[in-house]
Amino acid sequence: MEDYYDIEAILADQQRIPCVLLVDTPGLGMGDGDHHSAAGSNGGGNVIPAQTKLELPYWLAEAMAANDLCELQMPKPFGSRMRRTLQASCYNVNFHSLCPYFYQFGLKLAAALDEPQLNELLADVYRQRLALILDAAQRADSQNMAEFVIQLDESERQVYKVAKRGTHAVREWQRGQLNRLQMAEVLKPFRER
Amino acid sequence: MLGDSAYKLALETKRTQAHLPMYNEALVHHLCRETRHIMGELETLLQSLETIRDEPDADTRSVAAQLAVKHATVKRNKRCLLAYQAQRLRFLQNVFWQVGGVPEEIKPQLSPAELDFFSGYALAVNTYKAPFIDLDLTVSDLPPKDLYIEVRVLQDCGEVQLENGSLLLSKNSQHHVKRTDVDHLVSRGLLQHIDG
Repeated sequence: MEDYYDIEAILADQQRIPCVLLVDTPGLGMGDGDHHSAAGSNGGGNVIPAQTKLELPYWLAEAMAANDLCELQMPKPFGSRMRRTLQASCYNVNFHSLCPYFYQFGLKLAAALDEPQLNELLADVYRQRLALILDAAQRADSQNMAEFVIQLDESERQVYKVAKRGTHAVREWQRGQLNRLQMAEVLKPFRER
Repeated sequence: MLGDSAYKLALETKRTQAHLPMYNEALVHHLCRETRHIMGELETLLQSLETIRDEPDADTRSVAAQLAVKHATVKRNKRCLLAYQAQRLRFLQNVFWQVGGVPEEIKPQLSPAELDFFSGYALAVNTYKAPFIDLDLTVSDLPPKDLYIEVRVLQDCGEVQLENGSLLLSKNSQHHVKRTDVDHLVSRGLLQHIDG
């Protein structure tokens, strides 16, 4: 069970998924908070007929699919073509433009669409790229790494950050500075402005 | 699109994980209003479902679809709002444990409710700490190497009471002091720990 307050999980739920409506659905895509203008016409016009194919954020599609109101389909970044590419080599794939929450979203899809092979593929890809990421985090020239980090999925970025902090801590310890008192971590962004 | 404002707030939450910018009151209020409005629509829809249920060729499936969409949106809005708030509260808790009070530069960023939370949290922790007379739970958990350290003063602190006597800490001066006397001043960023 994922953490209700986890911002990563929330953003992963915002990823779009193609689905086919099974019922005529009014009110989709309107009432976007601008409810003063929408209040009168809401529910009236703008009915999207059944069998329409459209992309919805996952949190919405999931709720509708649970009530048999729409049918979920596999999004492109997880389609068979992309899977073949990943099986061939996953090192040079730009995950951030493909789907910034590749693993987290992928796990949800594997469960929702009942595709256990996807689970295995994700684990495989993650393991292969992990070595690359840890390696990168230990290199000294972090400027040149920016381009590499940009291509990582969000969870991979977290791993990179943690590994980076580890490398840094080892270096501090080697210089005997680990014992030095520091300004509180929470204050740093305020003082450095 | 439904849930766009909630997405906006979620993005802001993500962006500000290591920082505490001004409380985004406008967006929070907007989201609350939107959610309440959708709740109103939900209730009307439910009532209409009651009235058309007995009609033979009524389109109940379509009403059900609307209900599902709106209900999901309400839940989504709520989750984004709570996640935003929870992250800020976690940050404030960290501030308390690391600094021991609200620093001046953070105060204007907080909503009145957050200020209330902070003083309430401080009260709760201090009540918990009261029985441990000899033990300060808020100091660093790294064992010190030396009892005395060399510090440089970054900001004027005036005269400070130490364990044995008082000391005038004026800007840019340097002192050799007992570690436990000044560690809270270092964590507040007033002093800098330098190599002796």
